[in-house]
Amino acid sequence: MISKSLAIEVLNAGLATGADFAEIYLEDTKTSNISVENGKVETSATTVSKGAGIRLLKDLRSVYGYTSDLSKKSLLKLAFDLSKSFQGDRILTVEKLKTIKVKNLSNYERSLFATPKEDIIAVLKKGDKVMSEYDKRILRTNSGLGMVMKDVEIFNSNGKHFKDHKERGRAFLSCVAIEGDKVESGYNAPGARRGFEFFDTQIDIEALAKDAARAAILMLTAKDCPSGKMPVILGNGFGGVLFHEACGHPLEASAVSKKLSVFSDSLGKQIASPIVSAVDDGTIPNAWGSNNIDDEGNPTQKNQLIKDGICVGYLIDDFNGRRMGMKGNGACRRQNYKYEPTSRMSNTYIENGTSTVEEIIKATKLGLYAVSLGGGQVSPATGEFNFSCSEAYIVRDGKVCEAVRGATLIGKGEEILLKIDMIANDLERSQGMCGAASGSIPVEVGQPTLRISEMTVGGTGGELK
Amino acid sequence: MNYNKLFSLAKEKGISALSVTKSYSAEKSISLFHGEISNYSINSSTNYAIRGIYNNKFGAIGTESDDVNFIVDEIIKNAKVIEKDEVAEIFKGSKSYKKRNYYSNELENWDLNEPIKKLFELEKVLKQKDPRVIEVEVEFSLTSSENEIRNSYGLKLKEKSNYYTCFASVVVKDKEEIKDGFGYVISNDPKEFDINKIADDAIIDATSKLGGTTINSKKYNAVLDYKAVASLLNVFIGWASADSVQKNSSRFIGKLNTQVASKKLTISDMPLLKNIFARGFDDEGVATYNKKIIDKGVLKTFLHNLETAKKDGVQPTGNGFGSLNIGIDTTNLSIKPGKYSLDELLAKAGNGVYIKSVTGLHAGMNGRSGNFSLQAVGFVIENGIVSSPLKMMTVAGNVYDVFNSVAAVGKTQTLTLGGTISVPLLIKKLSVTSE
Repeated sequence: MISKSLAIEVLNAGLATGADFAEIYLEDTKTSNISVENGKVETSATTVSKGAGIRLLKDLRSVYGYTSDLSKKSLLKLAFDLSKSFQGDRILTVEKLKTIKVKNLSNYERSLFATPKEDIIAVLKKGDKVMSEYDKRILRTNSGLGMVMKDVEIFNSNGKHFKDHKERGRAFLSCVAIEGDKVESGYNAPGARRGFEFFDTQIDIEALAKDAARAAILMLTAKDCPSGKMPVILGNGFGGVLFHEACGHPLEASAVSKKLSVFSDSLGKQIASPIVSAVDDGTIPNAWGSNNIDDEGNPTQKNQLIKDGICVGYLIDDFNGRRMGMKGNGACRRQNYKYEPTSRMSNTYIENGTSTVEEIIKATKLGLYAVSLGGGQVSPATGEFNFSCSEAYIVRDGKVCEAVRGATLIGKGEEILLKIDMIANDLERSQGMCGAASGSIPVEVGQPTLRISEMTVGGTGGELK
Repeated sequence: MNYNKLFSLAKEKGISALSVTKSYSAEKSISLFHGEISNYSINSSTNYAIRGIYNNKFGAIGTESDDVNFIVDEIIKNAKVIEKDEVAEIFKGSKSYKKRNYYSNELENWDLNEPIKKLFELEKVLKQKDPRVIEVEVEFSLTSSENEIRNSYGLKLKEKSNYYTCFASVVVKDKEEIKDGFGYVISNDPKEFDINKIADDAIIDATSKLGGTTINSKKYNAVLDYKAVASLLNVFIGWASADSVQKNSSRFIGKLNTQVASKKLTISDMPLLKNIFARGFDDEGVATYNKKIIDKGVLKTFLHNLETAKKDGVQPTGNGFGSLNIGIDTTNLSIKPGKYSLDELLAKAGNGVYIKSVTGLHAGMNGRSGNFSLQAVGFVIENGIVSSPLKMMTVAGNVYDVFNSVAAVGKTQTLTLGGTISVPLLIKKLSVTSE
């Protein structure tokens, strides 16, 4: 997007006052969103965004600036303005830049951007139709597809230059069921770093749409969830959002390095029950949270975070790694050029255990079985988190019983991890968006079905019996 | 952006009307950590949200570039696939617009060394004010933005705004218990940058949560503080959106001019209040005006954008907001203050819970039914005063029931970061689950 010679000039302008690292991150992004509502195409919009973010580091200080004006004048001015934050003499000069080859881990067959909108609409309408025909109480259906195409270019004062092209797409299937004054919704949103082939042939859009409709109807007749402390079985796939909130965020160097995380200084310590092992892997081909290189040019990695309950790794970016005396491990991400990058998750999951789902249910005398979760939030400093259940049942004497709605699960990350007492062998991953300091980024969360021996469940249904 | 070139090319290619919203924003921000500047950023960007009508359908594009050929082609491509029944409309203009000057020249000319110096002082004050403080993070930012609408009918509207924010977060530790707290200021008046107030707010917020207890899980009288009220209110007022009503997603369907909330509540949309959130025109260019949405509990109006107004055969109400897809939103949503101070509300509650804030709304709130189950920061009210904090807890219920069971309204209004002017409320019977 800019020439190497201009990049060198801009980097050196930034390094004039003693910075020990300079980076230019350029991005050219196109997105397209189409949505079908109640069988008709309701919206179709495109966005185009192009800009540069410049970062300067000096010891434990960083300065960041961005602009959508990529002219030489604008970039040099930004570098110069940012360099004014430091007062010192130049210690580094960039002489040349070497282009580092980036291996593509996520190939696609048919780019969504080269696919006629009509073909995409046909697939969405298939899903929309299944939802609206499932039950007459389904009164609103919404099926959409969002696609993102990004060209990224990074130049840094280590003399390195990277270029990467990435595409991803995600379908949203949602419906609302209404009966009297009861309103419930169902939702499935499969996504991947793939092209149209993913939606057309690789996943079963109609099955996912049917599942969303089933969940909405089920919740219409569900009882209000009782509240109190009880064992909680968390379903596989999106159940992994528990680990993401309770453990993943507190393991990011952005909090850990500043001792603002409950898991700061925890390497080698037991932070989870001995049956828990967990991983963050940015290299899984075509996964929604994967990248070829992270947003500072480091290759992505499979990082073991927990092994047999012991904390063995963190998610680290080069800058926060400075406070920890550790190098970045491919976990540096940002939403777009408007955000300073920092350590974030990619595809995070708890590894398979040795039980089966049936064994876990049979072993539970009285508790909650949260088949799928809605979403959650965490405060890394205290480890306190919350998330809601989108489909849940009461388990009694080893059997799955009535469906319940409106359940919220709360707890402290470090306590919950120690209470995982059974893990099944049905690992699955689901897609989501994670929001934090460096913006909203695509991630996968995952786990096998597992049981937490005791958790606080909030609901309006009175005491659990 | 060469508007003349864009409008004439659009017309030539069959786009019957076109509207461009240009948003420019510039920001400077500084964070401190351990007595040093850990982070400093300077940012600026310009974005165009462009909507055009082709064959009576809307096509839209958001772009940071001014390539008019690309813009016109994308609008047509997008418009061609739209099937929904409604006829698209671009606004020709309101008869008049109220001019409000809410851009602060004083702020524009503020020497940044002054707030930066205060930021360092704030960090020091936070560290020294309470021995239980183990970590502190502070951040200051200054933002100015400009919003401009131009359309092919010749409408030209522009407004500027600027403001600064300062956030302080503290982590406190007592024995083995760790809690965090926040304090902030958001304003366009440099005189309101009071570091002692921010520090007190953050420390009290954090330390008040230490030493929590539990109570039986059941229903209690509850005093909801302004932040918790604002969170629930935005869902409740969402039902007044004509879009929700027309899409069968509102509990206010068919309830215009009927009682939908407690008689003690009057809630207004106040876009012309002189503050940093004020707007003289909505994102479709319709002039805004102050209006009562709920008057003594009676629903007085739905909130419309051009499309919903046309469907209902009424005038738009200046509530059309969004960039590529215009939805409905309020500006300076305000609750009319009542008679009671927070202490008086607590006294009236007698025995119950005081809920300072709720979180997890994106997941634990069903916007359509109003059912919620949310994590909350709460305290026990015993004999009319706050006696102790509660350990991790949730509150559950329905937003409709909350605003229909108001026993008393607080008198102190506070502007939230989200632009709601809220007051504390005493409500009857809120479900609490306590660890």
